[in-house]
Amino acid sequence: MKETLSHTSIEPLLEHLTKSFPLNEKEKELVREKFHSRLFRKRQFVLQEGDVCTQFNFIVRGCLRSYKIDEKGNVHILQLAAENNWINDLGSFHHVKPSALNIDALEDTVVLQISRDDLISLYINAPKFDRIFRVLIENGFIHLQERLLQNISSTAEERYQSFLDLYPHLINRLSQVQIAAFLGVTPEFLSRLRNIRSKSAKPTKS
Amino acid sequence: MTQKSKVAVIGLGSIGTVVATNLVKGNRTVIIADRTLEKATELSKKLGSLAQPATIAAAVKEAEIIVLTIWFDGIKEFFKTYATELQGKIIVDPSNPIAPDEKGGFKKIIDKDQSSGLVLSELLPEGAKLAKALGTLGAASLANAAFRQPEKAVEFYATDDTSINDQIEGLIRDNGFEPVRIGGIDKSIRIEVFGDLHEFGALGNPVTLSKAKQVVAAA
Ligand SMILES: NC(=O)c1ccc[n+]([C@@H]2O[C@H](COP(=O)([O-])OP(=O)(O)OC[C@H]3O[C@@H](n4cnc5c(N)ncnc54)[C@H](OP(=O)(O)O)[C@@H]3O)[C@@H](O)[C@H]2O)c1
Repeated sequence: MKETLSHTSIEPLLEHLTKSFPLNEKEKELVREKFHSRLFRKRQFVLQEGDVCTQFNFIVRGCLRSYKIDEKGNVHILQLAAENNWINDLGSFHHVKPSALNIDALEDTVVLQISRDDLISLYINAPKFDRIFRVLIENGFIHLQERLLQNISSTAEERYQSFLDLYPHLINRLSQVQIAAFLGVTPEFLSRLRNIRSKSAKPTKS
Repeated sequence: MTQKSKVAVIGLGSIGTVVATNLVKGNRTVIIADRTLEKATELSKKLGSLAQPATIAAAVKEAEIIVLTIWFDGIKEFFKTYATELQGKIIVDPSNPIAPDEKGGFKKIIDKDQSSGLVLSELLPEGAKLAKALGTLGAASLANAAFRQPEKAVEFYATDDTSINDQIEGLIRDNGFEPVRIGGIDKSIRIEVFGDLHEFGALGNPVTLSKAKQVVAAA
């Protein structure tokens, strides 16, 4: 059994986890047992507003976004997550209450999911996972703090620059509409911003 | 050079249509069949004279290699229905054992440490030979990455009976890909969905021969 499962999409997750926390065979086996693969085709929903977020999602391949649609129909992207990243609605997951967020696939995406019960059983049966997930959540929190601070204190241009720095692997995979919804600007504004930047970046003749 | 084996593609949905289209591009004659002859005739009009529409029964009879581009459960049924006629034939199985679940995505419908290749090899009609192939890429990549220049993309395959390797490799080449054998049917899990060598698994994308050799050897 181990032999065959070690040739599946569980491996990138084990690699991701063992980078910071070496796992013994028993702990690896728990990961293989408790996480389940799911495929979401582009545009399929992983979570819909009003449903409870029952799974913690690790992305093996592809890209997901979490977002909210306001009353005017505008899309506000909270998080973009691609390979080796985690995405969920933590409040809905832990408090078992309906989510205000949607999570859907921007590309064909393979995720590994663990349910709340299984995650708790991991914490109890193998305390190392308690630490692993504490650090994962700390990292997520730090990331969110930075993003929040930026949203209240930086200009759109600075936010765009920081997007380019943080997500170089996503720039060619996302449409301008998605990037604008992530930055909190209109696509027209983003397009103007990009135009200004590309003009000012042109080499000057000497 | 010996003449190429006659090949049939049965099941003309997303994957079957791409396989038939690739083969025609690769200048190979292909018999095409679906539940109705009309569906095959319609596709043959698009693909030209290299694509020859037939009934399923005629396709099974005529062809030496039968690519079953239908779903996993359908293949099981097919083996039962055509048990006698499939004797001596090479069957190519591209199936991924997944189905939509109630939550919007797709999940595996057999145990996570099982492969459809291995399950099907146990149900294989007597005298038939099985290859796991042509299912490692999604339909879009199977179309877009075919006949790539300057370096071809890889399609992995698995066989127990190595006497059919040449025919499978020919089939993959005529589809516009470079064949790489990963081993016996017991390795199928690697090239099925969620496998380490599948586009919808750890590999993530079509790869070139040098990259394929690296990842196959690394595991
Ligand atoms: N789509 C992908 O990206 C992909 C990638 C890799 C592998 N695969 C595998 O390829 C296979 C086909 O997938 P698909 O996406 O192409 O499915 P699909 O679009 O549903 O096509 C299946 C086709 O086969 C026909 N069919 C079903 N049972 C048949 C039978 N007994 N005899 C003759 N024709 C039959 C279907 O007709 P009806 O519509 O009338 O049923 C349909 O035209 C599956 O095993 C899948 O796991 C798919």
